[in-house]
Amino acid sequence: MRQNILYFITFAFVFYSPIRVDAEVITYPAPSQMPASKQYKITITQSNKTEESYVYVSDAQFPEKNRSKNTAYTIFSFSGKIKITVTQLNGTFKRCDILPSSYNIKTNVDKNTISFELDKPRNIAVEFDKDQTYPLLIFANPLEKSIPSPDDENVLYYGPGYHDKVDTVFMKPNQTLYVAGGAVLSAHVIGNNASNAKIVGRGIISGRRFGHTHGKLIYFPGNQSTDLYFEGFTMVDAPGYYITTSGKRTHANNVKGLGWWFNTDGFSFGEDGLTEDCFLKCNDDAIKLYRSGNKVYRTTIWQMENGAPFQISWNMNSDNSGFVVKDCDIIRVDHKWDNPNEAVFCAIHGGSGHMSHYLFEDIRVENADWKLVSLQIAKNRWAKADTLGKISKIIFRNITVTTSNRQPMKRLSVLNGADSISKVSDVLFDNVSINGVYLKNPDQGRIEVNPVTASNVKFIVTKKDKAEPKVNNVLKSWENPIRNGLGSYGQKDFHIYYENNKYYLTATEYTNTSWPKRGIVLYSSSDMVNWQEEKYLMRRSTFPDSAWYKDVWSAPELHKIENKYYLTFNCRNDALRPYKQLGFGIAMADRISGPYTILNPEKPLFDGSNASLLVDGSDVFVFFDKDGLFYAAPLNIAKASLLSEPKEIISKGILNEKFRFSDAPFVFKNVNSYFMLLSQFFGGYLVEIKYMKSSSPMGKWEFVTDTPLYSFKEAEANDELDMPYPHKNAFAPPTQVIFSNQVFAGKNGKLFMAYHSSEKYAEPHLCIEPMVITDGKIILTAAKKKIQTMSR
Amino acid sequence: MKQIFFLIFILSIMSVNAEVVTYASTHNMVAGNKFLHPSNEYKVELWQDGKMHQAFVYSMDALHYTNNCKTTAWVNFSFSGNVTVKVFNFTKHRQSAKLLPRNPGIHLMEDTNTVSFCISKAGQYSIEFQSGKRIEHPLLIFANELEKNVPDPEDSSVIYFGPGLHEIGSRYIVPPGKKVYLHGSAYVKGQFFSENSHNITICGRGILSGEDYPARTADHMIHLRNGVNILIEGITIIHGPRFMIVASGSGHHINNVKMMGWWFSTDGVSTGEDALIENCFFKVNDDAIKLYQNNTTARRCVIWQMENGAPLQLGWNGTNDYSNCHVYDIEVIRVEHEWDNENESVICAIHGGKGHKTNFLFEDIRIDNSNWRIFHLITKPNRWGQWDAESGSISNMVFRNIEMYGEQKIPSLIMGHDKKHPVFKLRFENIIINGKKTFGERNNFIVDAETTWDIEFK
Repeated sequence: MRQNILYFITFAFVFYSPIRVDAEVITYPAPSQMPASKQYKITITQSNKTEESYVYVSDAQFPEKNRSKNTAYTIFSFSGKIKITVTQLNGTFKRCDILPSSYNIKTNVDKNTISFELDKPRNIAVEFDKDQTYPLLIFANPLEKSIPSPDDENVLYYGPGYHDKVDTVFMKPNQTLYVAGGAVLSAHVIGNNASNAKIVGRGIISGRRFGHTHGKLIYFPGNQSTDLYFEGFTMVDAPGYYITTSGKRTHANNVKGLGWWFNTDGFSFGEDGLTEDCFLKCNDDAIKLYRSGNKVYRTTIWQMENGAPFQISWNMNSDNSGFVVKDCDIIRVDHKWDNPNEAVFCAIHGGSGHMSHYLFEDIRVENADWKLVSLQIAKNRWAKADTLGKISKIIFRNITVTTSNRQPMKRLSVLNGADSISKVSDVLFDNVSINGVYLKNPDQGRIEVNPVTASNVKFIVTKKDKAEPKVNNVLKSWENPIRNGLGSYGQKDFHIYYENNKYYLTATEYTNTSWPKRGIVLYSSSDMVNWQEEKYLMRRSTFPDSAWYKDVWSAPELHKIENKYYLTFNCRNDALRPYKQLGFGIAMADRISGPYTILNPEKPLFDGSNASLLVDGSDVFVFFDKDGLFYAAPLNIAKASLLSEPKEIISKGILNEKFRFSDAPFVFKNVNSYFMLLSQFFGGYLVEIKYMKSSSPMGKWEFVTDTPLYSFKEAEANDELDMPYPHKNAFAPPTQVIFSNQVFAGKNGKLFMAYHSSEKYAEPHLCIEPMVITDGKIILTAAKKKIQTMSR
Repeated sequence: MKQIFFLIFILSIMSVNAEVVTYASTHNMVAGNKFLHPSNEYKVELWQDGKMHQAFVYSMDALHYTNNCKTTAWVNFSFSGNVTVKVFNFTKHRQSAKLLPRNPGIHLMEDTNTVSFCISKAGQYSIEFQSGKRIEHPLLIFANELEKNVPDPEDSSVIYFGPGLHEIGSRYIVPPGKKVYLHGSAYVKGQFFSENSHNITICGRGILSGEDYPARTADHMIHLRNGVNILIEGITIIHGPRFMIVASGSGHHINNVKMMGWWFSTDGVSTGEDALIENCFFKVNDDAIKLYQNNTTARRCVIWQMENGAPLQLGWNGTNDYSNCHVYDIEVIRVEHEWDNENESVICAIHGGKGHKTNFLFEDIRIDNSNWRIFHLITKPNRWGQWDAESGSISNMVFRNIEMYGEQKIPSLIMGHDKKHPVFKLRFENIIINGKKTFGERNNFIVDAETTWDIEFK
């Protein structure tokens, strides 16, 4: 009874007190060591009272790779209703968006300021003109509930100011580390077996002064580090992981983090961890769903260029299950690299554990253009279990994905175990939509399901598509090289095929030396500038180890001949015949996307390089180079057999003094003439692209002109690598440069030439130029120009 | 009594012979000059008979992004007798110091930030404070013999570059019969050229720099076309845009030349027939020594092979037959290879011409700080060679006493392009990899059965 009265009195006091405790704004001072944004100013208004909230700025620490140059952020606490005003100090803007979009926050724009209202705590990103170069984050916290006393001996109290006396704060069981608003603790925090420890406050824990040490910013190792509680603080510039704990029942509430390095993974908690109302902007896996019972609610993630928002496993060797991720927003996924850790929902399981029972529900994914799901089991750099484990019982329910430009996602989703035992199984897509269209089956969802290593993949759709009308852009001009959606580690030997208003592309693929080549990928595009993965035509991992075509996969081509599709390729087995000449193979399918059957699985048709087909009515010829000479032969394509032995078509004997070592013949027919493009490399790193003409595919071939179509000098070679590599010199510059060229007919029969950009010191990429044939001569109107314009 | 005589004998030698000569730097050697500036990483004192000689420590910055070193520093002096080299290390790298080439006879004395060691023999050394296969801030010690026959500046047969900076342009023609002398304090920017000139000497202790020419924008640093009776001795060549030394003709002697470059295409030395390459130092980013001509002998060289090129390159081309090359006593102190390109191995041939390469002897070669393949001996059509469909081979070669301290990450490769271009009669004797003799096991050697024969391991 007495308690109830007390309670009532307290309640009455709070409710009727003249200072309304439930409407309050608390801003915090900033230590002088923390730089202020020169770009943004923020004020908060409540009940006619306006105050400024300090805008911090964190400069990119890994500017070679980071998309943003810096990130600004502000921290305050409030209750009731507030108006936030942001002033853009650096010029004007046309639009402003607040993310997550699901918060539905509307802004008022007035010249160079915007304002909006909040009536509950939120962690949000403010974007001007959809630009991510200078992001602004607002951490609008709830009021603190209980502030510990600085005199409490169980409290490590950091008041406002900059604290860098120690590199590491060590915590004991039951201790509270309090980082007050306005405090910046520049240190790691380690609590070995520190059960019941708490880290709370509105301050900042910064790892900036440590650089990229890979050290964890907050680290609670030991099984006894149980029942940890993290609340309210902000972590910036971590040197490695933000928070790693080993014991059970870690609870993170409203913790924010932003960092820059590869290795700034977000949270990796022990069993039964609970993450709620958190915000992570990080450049490696945001949330590790490694240990049983982890749950994630109402959390917002900005995934930078590397890592997965939700990572199921790299190397788990124990069985784990019972994961829930619910009501979360992924506001951006900046992926653009062909690495296996680049997907929103991801596993690169190389451990022996069985990872199962994952529920992903009510998740909004926006501005994610790359890959949605990648669940793979394979040995990887960090895990080499003898017996690989499994992944099973994954539910994706009510997942809404929107890409930034409403184009399809660039990469196929993948479900691919290691073999028929180490499988990915029981995966349910329950009302998963991309750009308003619900995924109804693997093909329509653009999901590669390996028939051997993945099973029981189901789709449920009970909602109606909300597809937006398709915009048919007419391509007028474009910029070379074209990279959008194509292989990020570079490609060569492009071959483009146009059919039913769609462009299809195959190429020699390249990869980071840490990952094996995948095989042959088919890309598609409606405009030949914006590409996406369409299908894996050949997947290396499905071939027997002894297959002659196990490796390399260079210069693939796709042709339609008498209602069948033929895929040609140049391969070798690197284990059995290392460094030997490539062999030529042919595969056939009824549909362009396959499945393709290899017609000569026993041995190659011949040894040689850069083999290319000419389809001339019902006749098919193959051209290839070997030892610097060119050969040709008529082909029975359906039987994958040569109709006669390959014949030398250019050699010293034929060309006399005009002969020199040549590569990559490509032949096409125009009216009644045959044209052949070729590449010649000169010591001193000069490459010349020339062409010859003949009235018959088998010859006699003659140069039309001595002037090259175009040439590449070494001085023109781009020497900036785009991609991150496992070590500095992982990218191998070729000692001898070959330019393969292709001529293809696109929309309205217009001719184009495709080749790759200079490859000497940087990744090669697709270039396309319009081409015309006038008076029997090939004319490139803007050879090698960066900007290309469609001819009328 | 005997001992006393011995002592007197030693003392008398010292008093007569012992000498240290250092060289002043030129006025352009200032901080901020990325091509060459005073080192702020190292200081070197030379001690002899209780007397200290300050050696100027040069340092240059890497020029290409693939270069693993960020700087390279060196000192250059001449001496006789014994000299104690005392190195002050101001870098943050304080791991215990190591000296390359490995030499158990030289004892390093370490103090907090100095290391001292005594040398009695001229040579080139790398003193290292970082460990690992790649280091970023090396210091090289170029300890020359005292100069003999220093020419008179007034001698009309001598082109004399005295102390100071000289800019001679990219085609300074050396007339026949002339001796070009680079004083130890001379810094010459430019390149030497001659054609059909005999009896040319280029010598001294000075520096020749190609810093004014970006990669492949000018000629070789010294290019003597069709020259007979050539001596190049004692100088240091840096920043070559192409090769350091190219000489065609015959009768070439390259002695104690120190060469350091950064580009793909800064090959080291390519000589004509009947050539002797000895006591040289290479830190180059393309092939160090070209074995392209008859009767080439290369011995007692120290090679730091950067990310590209082969220390001992038998060639991409070769229209004529070549034979009788002898390579011995070579210290390959570092190999920074990590690409599976054709030119990445210590002893390398990518023979793409119609000639027959035969009768080569390689012996006493030590390979340190490498994890790449030792041998890559293949015939293969390539874009530098004049491929002949019928002819071209590699044969009759002996590789003896070759020791690699470490494992090959990728196996050595012995392979012909086809049966008409075979690789045959190679004898590998006493090849030691990581302390273990190898007999051509598959993890160490790929020997292609179709295109090779008589490949013997002993």
